[in-house]
Amino acid sequence: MDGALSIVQGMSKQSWDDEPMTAYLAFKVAIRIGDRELAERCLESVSKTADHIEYLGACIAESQKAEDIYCAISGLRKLHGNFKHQVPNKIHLPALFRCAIRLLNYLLEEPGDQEKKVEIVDELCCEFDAGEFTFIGILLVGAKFVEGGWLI
Amino acid sequence: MDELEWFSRNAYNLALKNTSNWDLRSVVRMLTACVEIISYFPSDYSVENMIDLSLKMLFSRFIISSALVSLARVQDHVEKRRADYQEMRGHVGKFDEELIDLLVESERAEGRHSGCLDLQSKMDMSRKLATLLVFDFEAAVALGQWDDLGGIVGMVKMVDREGEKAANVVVPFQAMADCLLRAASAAEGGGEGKLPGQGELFLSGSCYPSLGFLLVYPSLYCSFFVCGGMLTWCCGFAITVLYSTMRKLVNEVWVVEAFDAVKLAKYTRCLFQATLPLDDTLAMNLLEESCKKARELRDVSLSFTFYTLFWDRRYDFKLLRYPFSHKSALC
Repeated sequence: MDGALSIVQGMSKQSWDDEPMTAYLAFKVAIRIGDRELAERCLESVSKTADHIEYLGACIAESQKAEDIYCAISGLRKLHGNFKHQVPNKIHLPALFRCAIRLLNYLLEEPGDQEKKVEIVDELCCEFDAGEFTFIGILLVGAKFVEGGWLI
Repeated sequence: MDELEWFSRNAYNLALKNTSNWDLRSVVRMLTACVEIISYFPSDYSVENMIDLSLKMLFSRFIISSALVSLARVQDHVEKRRADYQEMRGHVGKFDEELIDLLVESERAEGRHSGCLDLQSKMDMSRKLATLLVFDFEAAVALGQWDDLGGIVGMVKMVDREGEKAANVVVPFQAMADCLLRAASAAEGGGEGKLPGQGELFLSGSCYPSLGFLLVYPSLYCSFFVCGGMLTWCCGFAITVLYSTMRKLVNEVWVVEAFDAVKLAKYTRCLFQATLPLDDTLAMNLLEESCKKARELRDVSLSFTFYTLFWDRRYDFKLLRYPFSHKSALC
């Protein structure tokens, strides 16, 4: 793992920007050694690429496997940030919000610092606020979503 | 539909579970999101589910309003306090509309013998509406929305409280009267008193000198502008509204507690005390009406109690100071 880390740290920024696989592999290293700052940089790089949906999904799965809830939530947020209302859509937005809400709720129920919990409550409220607007967006796009069997 | 149900149910449950350990603003946010999500359900959703959703929405609005009034009362920042009261008024208005829709739908459902609201829930919602209208009244006083006060008193009167004890039915009127008395005594003190909770008043200290002017020239209420102009006009208008609203409240209490002369005398005396320094004509009109009410009491001992509770040696001194022609009412 030390060897992998030294390779990652030796890489230039440009080598990440157009290579989502590189950023993803660096993310896996970051998750294993518990370096959240490095993990966040990797997520940022991945989210800017054309295939961000698949890679961000992989990062989120990796975070959950390593039980790093904060990284998983960050990945979900980036997915939401890049979401475009279009049909068909690879992202099931309500499911995305549900995941984020469940993870935040899990963090709230764990014992921990009270100040941190206040921040988590705020983030939880933001997820529900954002989820509420999702329904407006979905209703505006309309009947095409019936085909996907998502809502009405 | 499952998605809407999931989000509305979880927002509702999370908020309710954490009302005692979360910041109140977070509880308000969560329940507001719940209410907004429920509003996306189509109107032709199944009847049983719609009643359940409507009750959830009403209960959410009740908690939101209660939380906002608590936040407003302890808020030092004037604009934030006004915003909280205004937002709360919005929720109370919606509660009233949605309750009417629910009761209408429930009556239709009774005809179909399915999906109607049970009596216990109807009574509970009526009590909640009465409570919310008291908060609405407090907010209207705090925001200086005088035109709405009479309407709110009327709405409380129309809330169906059948089967409840008189002592419970009269509570909203007492609470509103209390709110008005605090506002009136704050005005008498020239802006030094408090509205419900903390906060500035609808009358500021700068208009206190004008009050003395108005007592001598009451006919100039509507057109005179003296040191703080608009506030002076507001003084005159607010006093009249205070008085007329207070009278409505005392009348409502009289209807419910017609045989409790002791309580009625106390309320009337409070109104008289509050009004006399601000407008002697209104105060003496009240005195005449009170004497008439006392004479209507058939029980002589109750009538005597009314007079003795109402009268006070302090009034002798105050009455001598004012030039008016109503002294005969004292006999």
